[in-house]
Amino acid sequence: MKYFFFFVLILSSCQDYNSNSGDKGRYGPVELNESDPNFSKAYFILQDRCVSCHDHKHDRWAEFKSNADWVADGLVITGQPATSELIVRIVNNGQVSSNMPPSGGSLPDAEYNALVKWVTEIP
Amino acid sequence: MKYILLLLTLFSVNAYSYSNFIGHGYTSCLNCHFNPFGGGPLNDYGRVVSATAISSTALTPKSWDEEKVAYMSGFLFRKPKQEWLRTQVNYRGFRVVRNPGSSENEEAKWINMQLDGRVILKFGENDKFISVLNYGYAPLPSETPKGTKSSEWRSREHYVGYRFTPKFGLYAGLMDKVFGIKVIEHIAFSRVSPQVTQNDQVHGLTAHYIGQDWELGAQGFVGNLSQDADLRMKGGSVMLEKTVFGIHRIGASVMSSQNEYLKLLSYSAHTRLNLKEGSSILAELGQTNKKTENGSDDTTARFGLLQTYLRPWRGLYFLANIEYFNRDIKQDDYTLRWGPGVQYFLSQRIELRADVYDTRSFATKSSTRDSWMYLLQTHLWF
Repeated sequence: MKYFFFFVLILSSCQDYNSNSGDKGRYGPVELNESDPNFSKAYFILQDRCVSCHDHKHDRWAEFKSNADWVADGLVITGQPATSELIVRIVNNGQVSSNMPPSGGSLPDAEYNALVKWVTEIP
Repeated sequence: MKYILLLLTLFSVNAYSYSNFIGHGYTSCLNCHFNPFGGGPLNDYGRVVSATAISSTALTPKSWDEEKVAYMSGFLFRKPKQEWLRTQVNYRGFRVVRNPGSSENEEAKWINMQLDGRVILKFGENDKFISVLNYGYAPLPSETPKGTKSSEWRSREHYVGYRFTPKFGLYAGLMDKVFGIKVIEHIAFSRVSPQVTQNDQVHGLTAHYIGQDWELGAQGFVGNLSQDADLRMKGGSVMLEKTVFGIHRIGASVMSSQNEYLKLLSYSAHTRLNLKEGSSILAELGQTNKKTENGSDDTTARFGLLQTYLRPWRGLYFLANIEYFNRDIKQDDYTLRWGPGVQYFLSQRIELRADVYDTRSFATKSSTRDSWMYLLQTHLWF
């Protein structure tokens, strides 16, 4: 009988993963520490395209909620998209063999251009 | 150890059905599955069909006739002595290689995709009352969101069903959503976009009606109750399929669902064409309209699927797969995934499969290089 209760305990102490497990982080309310309208647009693109890997696995990109966070991390150089690693490494550039994202194709042009515009016009 | 064996014996499921078996004349999933919309455990007839029509005879002793093969299709290689209990065990694993041949980017690994145990209780004339429990292992994907409280052991299905007449049945519990063509490729855009993948079962009430030449499913659901309440997708779906020219099926599905952060409306049209002798064509085209609470991804995506199955001889199927996906129909960017495959049912209980996929994204000004991947899959069931 004790094994039965152990089994029930295991079942009741966890929840199933599915397509909606990350909805709160992806689509829930978020408070940004930035008034730059370009940033808010870039933030959601990066959340959607990059953060699934560049958060818990490699980095902490989900916590970057201001221009200063990205600049401080060295991935973005103010006003210089051509030398900002975040932009250079995007597969749309077609420059480096290990560009991102590693699979699934390039970003739509509108999203790529929004990221470039954001870095270019950081106040 | 004995308790593990006991659990494996008592609980398990195959998450998928094979919609392409319309090529063998089976228009409805109800013929071979307890779940009238396919997937999950096979019924006795389904096991016999698998043994005597689908699987090759390569490993079958020459002294066995088809009746003997059918008899041996049961769980313990024999016909069960009682009528009320069925058990099944199901395993699926594959070696996946991404970017094969690339010195920098090749990534290869073996993934145990599924290990399920199933127990089915069935009573009454024509098994009109059934209870299905399907529990097992499914790996968490690498992109599992941080902080997700999830386990790799889960219930795949648990439901009860009652067929009031041979034509009409009601089912209550955790089941797959009723939508579109169930294909085995869990990364298929036609399954990912409307959120009907192998992990997207929901608790709900499902009605099934099968007429002379048509079939209707309607489902109301409240999400997966094991999840936090704010994440549960609540909604409903309807799917209608009609038999045309006696052997083909055309169908349409619509599904609306939402949680506190996301609202989805998906709709699709599909067809399953019987090319006879086991060969078939599956096609689906649909859209998913997405509205998000923070406005970050309010888009309408379009997805398409075209699969052909050619059966040169018993047990063997040659596949061709083409998929289309546009994540925002307001933009011209789209992704194509295509590739050949081969599926071989070496014998009852053993399926071997190899697939090659190439993915390329097309934007207005550029396109990505081809992204290749291949899978070598083993599927065992008992």
